[in-house]
Amino acid sequence: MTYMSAIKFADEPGRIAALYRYEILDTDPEQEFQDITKLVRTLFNVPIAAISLVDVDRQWFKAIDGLGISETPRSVAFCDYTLRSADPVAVEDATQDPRFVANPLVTGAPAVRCYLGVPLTTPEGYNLGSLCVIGTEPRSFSPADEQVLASFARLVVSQMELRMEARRDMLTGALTRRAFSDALQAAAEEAAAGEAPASLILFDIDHFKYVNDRWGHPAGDEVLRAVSEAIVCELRPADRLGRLGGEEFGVLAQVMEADEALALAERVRQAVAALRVPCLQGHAVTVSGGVASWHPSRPDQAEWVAAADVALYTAKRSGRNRIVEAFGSLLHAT
Amino acid sequence: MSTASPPRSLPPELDRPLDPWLARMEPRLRPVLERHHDNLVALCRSLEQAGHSSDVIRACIRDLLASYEAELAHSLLQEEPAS
Repeated sequence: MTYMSAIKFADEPGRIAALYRYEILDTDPEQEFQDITKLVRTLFNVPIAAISLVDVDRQWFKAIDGLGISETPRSVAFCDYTLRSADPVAVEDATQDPRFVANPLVTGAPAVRCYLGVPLTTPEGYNLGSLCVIGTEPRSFSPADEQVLASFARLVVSQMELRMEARRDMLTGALTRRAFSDALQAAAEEAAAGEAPASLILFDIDHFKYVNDRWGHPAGDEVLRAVSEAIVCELRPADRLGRLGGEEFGVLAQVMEADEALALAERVRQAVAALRVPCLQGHAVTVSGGVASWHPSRPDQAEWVAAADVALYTAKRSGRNRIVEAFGSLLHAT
Repeated sequence: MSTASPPRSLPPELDRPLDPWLARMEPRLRPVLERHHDNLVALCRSLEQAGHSSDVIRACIRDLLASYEAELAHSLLQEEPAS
């Protein structure tokens, strides 16, 4: 396979951003990944097989067959060694390996003895985690074993890519409404737990029906693509863009307070206003926006979205091409 | 794209040209599906070289294809958001 870049071992922030782009951490079990670990466990005749994704300070298992845990600290993860390798990592007997002899996964349950892990490498060259098989008896793995596991590891990554694309709007590449709702729900739960503030911005293209009626739907599609690209240019890697309706977009800005979100929304508004879409023959494109940060007075997703919606509606009613913020019961317009 | 020779016992589910139906797909999906197909073929090769029987190989591929069928169908049948 020649379409993979060299592995970027030194770029940990880039690796974490790449992992987050797959929007797979802390998601529910999914059949296609569980089938891979089941198959691998059977083929290798081992007690445990896992798809491990290594986050900042933990390894989280997207699928694990043979052990009932969902994550461990990164400090005890065998897969953290695999992460730092371009090749499979094989451990014949962990009790004889100075790297692992004192590891609690060896000295305690599940009493790991042998391990074979292959890094999960993205086409851009980031190792996100590993596909591994684990045994409770010493064992040596052959080059053929390593090749089989490496083949499965490449499948895991292409499966993750297919999954990511299935969550994207075909025209703009933004998240689908459903995928954006999942992201919003997770953000609401984190904010409610006091883990991270988050802000929601709803954008609606002004007079979009006029564009479609006058220049046709292909022109409308070009406007949608241009607007979504203009929004993406203003976002940070961890921010999420969703296409929620025909001409409506949502931005989930995590770890962002209200004043920053308002500033972000205003930058987007200006960027869109500066667009020149050739097929529109000089007609200007603008967006209206409504901003709502997560707030204890509206703890769940529906209330949060409703607050942003009211702000957006106010922006439309008060002349369009402007941003309005909802804050409790107050509205603030730019 | 790999230039190695295909496995002797490539399951028929994989032994079809992708081009006709890739051409009908969204451009963004095509490289992802091509990579997944290549990876499935590479898996067949590695299982064969590791000495697994054609029955085992076919069973693996069948299970894996069935697994990602749902994601693929969702991508292909994605509806336009309502205005």
